[in-house]
Amino acid sequence: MTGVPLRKRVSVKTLLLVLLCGWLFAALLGVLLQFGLDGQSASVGDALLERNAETASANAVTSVVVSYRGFDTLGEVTVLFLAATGIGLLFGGRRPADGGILGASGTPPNEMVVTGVRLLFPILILLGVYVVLHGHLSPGGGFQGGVIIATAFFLRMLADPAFRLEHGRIGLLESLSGSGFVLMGLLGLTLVGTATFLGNFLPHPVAEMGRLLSAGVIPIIYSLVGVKVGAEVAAIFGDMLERDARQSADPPVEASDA
Amino acid sequence: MTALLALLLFAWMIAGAWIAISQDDLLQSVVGLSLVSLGAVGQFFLFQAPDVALTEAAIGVAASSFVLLMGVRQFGRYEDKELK
Repeated sequence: MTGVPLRKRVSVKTLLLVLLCGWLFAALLGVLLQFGLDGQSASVGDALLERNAETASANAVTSVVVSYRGFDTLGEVTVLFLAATGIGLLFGGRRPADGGILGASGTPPNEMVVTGVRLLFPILILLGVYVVLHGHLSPGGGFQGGVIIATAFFLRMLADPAFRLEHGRIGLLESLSGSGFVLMGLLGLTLVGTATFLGNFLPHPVAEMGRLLSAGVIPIIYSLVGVKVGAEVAAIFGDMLERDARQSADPPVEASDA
Repeated sequence: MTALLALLLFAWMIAGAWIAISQDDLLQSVVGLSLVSLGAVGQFFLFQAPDVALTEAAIGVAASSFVLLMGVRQFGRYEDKELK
């Protein structure tokens, strides 16, 4: 159509890249379509479900997350910790010289926000604690309950600018619960006969299944996970809000340029 | 019945995603993303994954929306026309 020759209209590098991507896609599709057909990988979930009664945890997902795959959970919590650390470095790095962030945000919070948060805060805390403590009985657990508690504190920080989370105290809480998690794992390693990390060393009779005090070490570990996740997510929210408040306190430099 | 509900939720999620893309008002875009997550909560619950549904409700609907809202508060509410 145009006078430009074909080799100028089609870049060879792009064409090669597209071909490579297509070949990779086809190869991976060939692998993925075979996956699970041999019955080997499909039976893992069924095997865990069959053995679920031995953990005496009514919620089978929890017994996988905390007991059978507890080490993975430790890794996930560590990833979250690293994310919170990175966000803290990014957002809380430069403190203003006067150190004054109190009352920094210009406009006071809306009356409806204040009233609504006053109503919601205790309910959210109660819901979060319930979700954490009933992790081995009903859906939910440490991660979900921890995030719910952190959300409650975030709303509180929005409604009340004078309310601040003390970073030192949050860090202490977070590290104590993290160390408690590892300590539980090591105790399981030493006390249980099979010597497994995070082994269930407390008595967990199957007859008690479904009660609040059952499943041995699982509710303790999930509570520690809940405290740790709540502290980390609340620290992330706190970092972002403080940075936000500090920026709005600064004189708008960009606005004068425009 | 389950299939019908699932289709409804799919429509809900697509509508939320469309709101998130098409709105100039970034506050409403965040609400649209939150609606997508809310539809995902319904889907997870419908297909018997209540644990994942609870996680999605706590993180997808609440926490990630909060993070995005703080971004909106810092960078202004309306989309820059020159970027379009």
